[in-house]
Amino acid sequence: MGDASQFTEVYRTYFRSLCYFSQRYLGDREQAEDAVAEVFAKLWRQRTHFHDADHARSYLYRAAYNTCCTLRKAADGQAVRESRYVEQLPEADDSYEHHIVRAELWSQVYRSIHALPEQCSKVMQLSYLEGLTNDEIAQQLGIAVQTVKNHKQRGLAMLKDVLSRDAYLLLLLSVGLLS
Amino acid sequence: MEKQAAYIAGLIGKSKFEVLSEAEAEHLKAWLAISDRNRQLYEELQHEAAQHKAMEIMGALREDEILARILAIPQDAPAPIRISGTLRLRKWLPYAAAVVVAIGTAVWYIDEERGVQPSETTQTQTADIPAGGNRAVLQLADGRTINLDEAQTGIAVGGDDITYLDGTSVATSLVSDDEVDAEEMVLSTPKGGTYQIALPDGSRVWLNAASTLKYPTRFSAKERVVELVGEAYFDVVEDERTPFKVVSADQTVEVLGTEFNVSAYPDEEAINTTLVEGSVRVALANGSQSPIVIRPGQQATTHKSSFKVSEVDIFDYTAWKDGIIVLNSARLPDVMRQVERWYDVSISLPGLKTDKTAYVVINRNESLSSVLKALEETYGVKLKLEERRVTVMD
Repeated sequence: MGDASQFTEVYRTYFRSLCYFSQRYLGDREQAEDAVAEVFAKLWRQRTHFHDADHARSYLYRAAYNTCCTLRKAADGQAVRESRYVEQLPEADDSYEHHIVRAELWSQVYRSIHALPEQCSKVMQLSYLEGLTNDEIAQQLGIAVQTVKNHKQRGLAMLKDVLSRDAYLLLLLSVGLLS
Repeated sequence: MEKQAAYIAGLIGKSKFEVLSEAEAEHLKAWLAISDRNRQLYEELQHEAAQHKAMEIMGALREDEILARILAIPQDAPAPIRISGTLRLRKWLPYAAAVVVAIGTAVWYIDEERGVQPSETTQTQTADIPAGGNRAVLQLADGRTINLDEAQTGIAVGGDDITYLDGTSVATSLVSDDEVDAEEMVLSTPKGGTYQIALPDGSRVWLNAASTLKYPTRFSAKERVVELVGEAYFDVVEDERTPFKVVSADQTVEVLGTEFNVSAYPDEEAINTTLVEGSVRVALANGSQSPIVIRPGQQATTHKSSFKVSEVDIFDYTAWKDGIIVLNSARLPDVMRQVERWYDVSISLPGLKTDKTAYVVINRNESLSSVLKALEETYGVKLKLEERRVTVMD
């Protein structure tokens, strides 16, 4: 079962972001899920192992990109030329990178907020995603304003931790990358 | 490139929650200065509408279902075949048929001559039995019993009122505030039923089929105690001064705040306590062994007056709450006890010859006939359904 739990961990880390990424290319949620399912099914059947997190991430986004290309070519062959093609697929342009930024951002936000304890998660969503004030949140959830503040404080500390996990590893390299 | 993109996404995420460090803020600024397209993307990601849309998409993804489908594919399966030129998830199901049971809308078989065929057109079962649903009975402190609404998913208790999770009223409790003693209420599911409950302290419980949860109308100041027969998933609200206890036949689980699953069916040999988050203490009812503390990913198996701890895949033991039954290395009788509870049928397997084990995944929304059909394939047996009774044929 060791294999399955490792696979499950990689899957849970990237499934949502890859689906979001693929949807940008395919324009349809279910097709995007199919494309990503395909990438992971291959990974599973071939018992692919990754050296580290960077290897996994590069492999998965490139595999998803290739699968999206294949699916679109197949669809083109059937003369299905519809407006749902959101964008063209030029090789390695900066939109590839931007799609990853979008996908990573939203999946990180989604996953980190949903990993919080329920009430804390609600407060964080209302505050940072819906833009409500502390008073409005207190009223909506029927709790004290101080409780809202406590939840926010705790939530932020936990989010910072979650969002930093990748970033710490990269800090040393990032200066070179960005200069 | 992927690495930098993920790093930048992390920075933008942190800036949204205003937890960027100074150095990180500098990095973000440097990235924004690189191109107009970077700045445009940053602008786009600040819009509330974009955020809403993204969260909606994220929330709609079928993460668990697709994971279950993939795990059901044998790892040595040959390269996938193509169906009408495009690659689809379905194509693995023929290979998966040896282990996967009725997941998705149809079970597919492979025919050497004609390719992939849907099986549902050749329905041989005479009468089918639909899947279970949201069914439960609530017994109030005053003895009244209420059949809970099948269109609802759960109830919330607290204060004087009992409501459904959408806020509509179930009943007004007759227990007044100044009453000293808390009284006992009982939520029970029949075979083929499941229901959720939010307890007075906000803790959530998902009750599986053929299970009973006893709880007080109000928790005492010292401890929060509930009694469980059957299976339930607990998401307990943290309260360090008031431990939460789940009492079952042979054991008590004590927690402060955490998520875990307890399976304590009288017809199963052992009680399994699986920890998802936090830490819990499991104590034997007869005290013959000192209590043990288990960690996330561990499972305590209580067998009458002893227990053992093992590492397990949590998914296998908690997927039922998301509508999927998962059984690892299961023999047919093990699977059938689950089928019995969810489809409310009786099972009789005398003369069963196979001792085969399989990784089994059942979608709890499938009707009984498609489940039985897939089980026949998986275990190489013939099963007969007659008036809510399943028997094995030679």
